[in-house]
Amino acid sequence: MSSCKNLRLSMMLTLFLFLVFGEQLNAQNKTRTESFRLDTQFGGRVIHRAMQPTGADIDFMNYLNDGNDGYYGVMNFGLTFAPDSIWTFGADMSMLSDMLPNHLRIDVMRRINIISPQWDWGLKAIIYAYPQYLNEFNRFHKETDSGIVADLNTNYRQITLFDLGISAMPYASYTNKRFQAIMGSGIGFSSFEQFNERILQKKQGGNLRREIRYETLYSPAITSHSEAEATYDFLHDRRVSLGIIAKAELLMTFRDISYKRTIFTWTDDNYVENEIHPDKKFYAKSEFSMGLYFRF
Amino acid sequence: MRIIKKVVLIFLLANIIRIIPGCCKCSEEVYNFNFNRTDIRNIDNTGNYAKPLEIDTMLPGAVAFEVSIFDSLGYFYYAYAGPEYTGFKTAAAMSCDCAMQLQTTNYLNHIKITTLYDLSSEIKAGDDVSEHFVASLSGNSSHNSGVYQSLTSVCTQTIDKIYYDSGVESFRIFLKPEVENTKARFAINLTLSDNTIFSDTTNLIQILQ
Repeated sequence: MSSCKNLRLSMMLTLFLFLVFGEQLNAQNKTRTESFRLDTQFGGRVIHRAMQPTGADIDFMNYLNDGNDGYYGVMNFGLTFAPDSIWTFGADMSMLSDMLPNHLRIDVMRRINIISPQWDWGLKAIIYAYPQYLNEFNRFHKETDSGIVADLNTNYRQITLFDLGISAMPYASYTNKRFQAIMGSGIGFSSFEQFNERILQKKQGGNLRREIRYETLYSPAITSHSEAEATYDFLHDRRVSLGIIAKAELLMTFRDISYKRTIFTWTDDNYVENEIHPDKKFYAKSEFSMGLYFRF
Repeated sequence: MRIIKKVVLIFLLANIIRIIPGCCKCSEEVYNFNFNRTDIRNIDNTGNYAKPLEIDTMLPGAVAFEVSIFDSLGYFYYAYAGPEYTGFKTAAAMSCDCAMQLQTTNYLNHIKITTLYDLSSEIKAGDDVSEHFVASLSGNSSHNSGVYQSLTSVCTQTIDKIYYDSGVESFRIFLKPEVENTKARFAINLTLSDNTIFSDTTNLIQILQ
């Protein structure tokens, strides 16, 4: 038992030494000074999720992006800072046609090992947040609640719903003269931010009033996250370079928006409370963009 | 160094701008008044929102009234004269738009509603139908709900309540069961904390069947 414990300890120590000192030894073969990279790209994003048939309880996922797959044009701006040849830090900001730069992403890459003059690999961690619109969810009540004014709020019902997530993945990097490609695939988890909504209903020609309050619950989902990036320097100098960049991303998960529903009838001390967990359904976000970068 | 000076100047300007609207003073004095009159009006609750009704005709499921109690001296009980100052006065850069704070000495304790006509085969003339009514406060209130309140909670919220500018307590009452009769009329008794009882009746309502 004790020898097994010692073996485990020595393996962990070896791995630690390999990560810390192995990299420094490798770094002697492939040196690089600190660099900044500014990039801008334009591309497209598709958000797909499987629709659920209308049931007895509302499924908020059905009302994401007007109940359709979302096709968006996306403008990305990125800043990457590599203090040395091991670490790379990136921050990206994106916006849709609303020109609201509220799509944020931060990533950290650490090179673990150099396999050959062209190939190396490492680990990458990403934190991201991007919004979507949940539109006119009150259609559910208009379609299912009869004999009553289904929603007294006549305004357009829109919720900006942020998807917040974190991912970790191993990546492989290929460098050949002016060309570099990085590919990674891993897992993470994400969750829509929580929100509260209420629907007020009233019987036409009668005094009956009803209020339905929705409070969504934290529903994290495990995600599969894959990314690829390719750059090519077409103007190159010892200190600066200008090139083209292409990025692709695929995020897949099975997810739901669970919620607590409270229905008040006549008065606020007469209510029924339920916790609803709709079926999980397939959800995918894919994105491709191309643009220019300037490295210095 | 020049950058620091500029930043400090911007912060100073921002704070000076914040000080200006703070330069006025409102009286925190609370003036007392008494509820001594009542008023009952018809309410049309057939649409999405309740509104005053000038005629005495209602639908069987939408019987509703607005009840008000107030001081007979008027809705605006005091003409705001402002406190008298002697000697040094506090300097104020701006005059404030202050609401006058009023508090009743006799808050609402109990609401009793009696039907003067049969409402259905179960609810006969002379029955206490208070339990069949729900209420909502008129105008702005802190009750942040889309449904009604009980009559008891309408009474409770008048305890130590501060009224701004006008000493009027106004609430709407709504009958829950549908009226099966062609006529409806109700007697409303409001009991105040000093045991004063105000009694009034609604108009005779014709029910459209």
